[in-house]
Amino acid sequence: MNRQEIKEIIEKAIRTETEYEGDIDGKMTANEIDGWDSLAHVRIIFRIDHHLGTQVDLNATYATNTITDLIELFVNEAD
Amino acid sequence: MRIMDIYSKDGDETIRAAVIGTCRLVRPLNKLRECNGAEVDGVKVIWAHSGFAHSIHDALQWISILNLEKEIPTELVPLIYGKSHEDSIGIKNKAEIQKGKELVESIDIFLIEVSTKNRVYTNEFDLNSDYLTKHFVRPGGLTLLDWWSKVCQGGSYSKEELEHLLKSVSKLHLAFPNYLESILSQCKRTNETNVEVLNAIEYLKNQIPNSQCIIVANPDTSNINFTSFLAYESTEKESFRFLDPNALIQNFEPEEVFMGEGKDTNHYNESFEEQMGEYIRDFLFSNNQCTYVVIVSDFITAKTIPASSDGVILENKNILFEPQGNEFVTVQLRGKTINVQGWFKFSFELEKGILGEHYSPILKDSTSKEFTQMHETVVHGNSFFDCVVWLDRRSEHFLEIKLKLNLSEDSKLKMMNVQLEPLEDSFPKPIHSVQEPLNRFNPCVIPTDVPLLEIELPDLTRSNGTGGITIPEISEGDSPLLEISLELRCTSDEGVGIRLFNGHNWTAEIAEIGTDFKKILISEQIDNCTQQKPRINFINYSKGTKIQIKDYSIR
Repeated sequence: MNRQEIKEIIEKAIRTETEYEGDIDGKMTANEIDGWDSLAHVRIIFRIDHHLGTQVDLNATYATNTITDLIELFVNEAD
Repeated sequence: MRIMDIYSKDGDETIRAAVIGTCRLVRPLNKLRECNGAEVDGVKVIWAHSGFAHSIHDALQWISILNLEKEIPTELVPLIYGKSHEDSIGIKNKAEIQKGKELVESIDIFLIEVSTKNRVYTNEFDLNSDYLTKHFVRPGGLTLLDWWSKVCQGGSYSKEELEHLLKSVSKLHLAFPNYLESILSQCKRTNETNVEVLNAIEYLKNQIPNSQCIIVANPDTSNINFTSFLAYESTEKESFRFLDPNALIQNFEPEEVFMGEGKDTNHYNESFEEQMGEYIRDFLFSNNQCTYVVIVSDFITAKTIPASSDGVILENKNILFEPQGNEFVTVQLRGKTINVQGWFKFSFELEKGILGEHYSPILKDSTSKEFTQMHETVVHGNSFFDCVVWLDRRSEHFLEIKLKLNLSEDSKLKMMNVQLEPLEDSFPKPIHSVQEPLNRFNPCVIPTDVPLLEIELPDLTRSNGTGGITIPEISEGDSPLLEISLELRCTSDEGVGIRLFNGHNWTAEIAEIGTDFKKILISEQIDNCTQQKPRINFINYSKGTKIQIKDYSIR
């Protein structure tokens, strides 16, 4: 799966779990997306994991800052 | 959950604490065991049980378990204690809990971290959201992830949908055969209000009448409103003590405090845990009621009304704009969080001669109807303006400053050192005035042992005499019985008379005050309040008289 496909899966998971309808930019952080709280964060990661067949360490996802950081984490994990 | 004996630094005193929370509370305290140079161990763990708590309801459930009022069925153990079924539970677990029960009466302090307002629960049990997702949702794949998303987003299942869901999930052979239906049908996630959490804390306090209660906040600054609310309630009611870890964290860079190079605010760096452990211990052995960080964010945007065609530059607390030939300009400033309520000092500096003569700027907090006259002080040819204003907690604040310009001056205008600062230990209550056309509210906070609020009374040669201190929270049509208590004095030997406007009529003079403090009680039945709101009015005084208020309450 290429980077663009992973990015789309991540954005879709964010929208599903937060019901956020605004623009999503790679520089955005979780705090800037309404509905992205600690419970939603875990669900977003599980949903991405499910679609990518990965199982990332949740603690590693807490150390990401922006959505681009999260994409990079999954790109590396999916390699 | 732990029960620990925590020793003072010199080892002379011991506090037995029940520690209920996450790794942010337990791990720093555990680190005290390893303190270098300590003559004795910093802590001794008397009793420990697996499982951590996020919400105040998780903590309440732990207390019920310890008191043997609630028993967790073996099948639900992984969702509450986090242990998997493979661990030896059952009889061993019951024996552990019994040992904990025997220690309850000896606990001095319950140290409880409330890290979230989210509550996840069924009719009978509060479930740990981390354990639920790990042991139940994740093994259930997309079917249970969709269910969990719906629960978290407040959705519900019809009877038919639930039957269908139960059938599909049963085929997954999860480890919850007897509780599967109740989890799927009853599980709810609610996001409680600040007041609901406070009520739960008060309830918890009643469950432990012989022990102190310390609530520890989540260091994540996105919880700022919740944290400031609990800090305020702790200080006011003193029924629980409150510790905000940010009071320590603010002295460090994020990468020194948190894992993931400072980004993972859920977990402290191992090297920081020892310092946090010491900080918690210092608080435990102190008489401090509350530690808390005051946050007042800087102004982040500025604009003018009418708008400046070149825009407004806000940089390093300085504001630069072109007034476009308008005599009156309003500068609107926007800032983010204020996590305290109280009196603030607002100030800025202008080069002398920029404003029209005999004019002082007026400040308005956008959420209030009140205009505050700013004071001017001239130093080295520049004018310094300041005033005090009451602001409450908010996630965003707007202040407006109305200026009357001297149009013969340069076209660019620069406001320098624009600042908003909280006034510590100032008069603790808001007081608002009724505006009159030619008189602005002009309060001043005097920081004496008992802080006073000073107000210069309107110049009666310019005033229609109808102003005064407004009585808040009365709407048109209300008929409350007002009980006002006011302790005050005036600065003039000639004294000041006090009367009340009751929404219809002026009362006769109720009391007269002099230069010594006097307590005045006013009781008045308001009958069907009009648009003209009740107010305390001041009469029969000489020009330049000020009143100084020591205490003020309305019931």
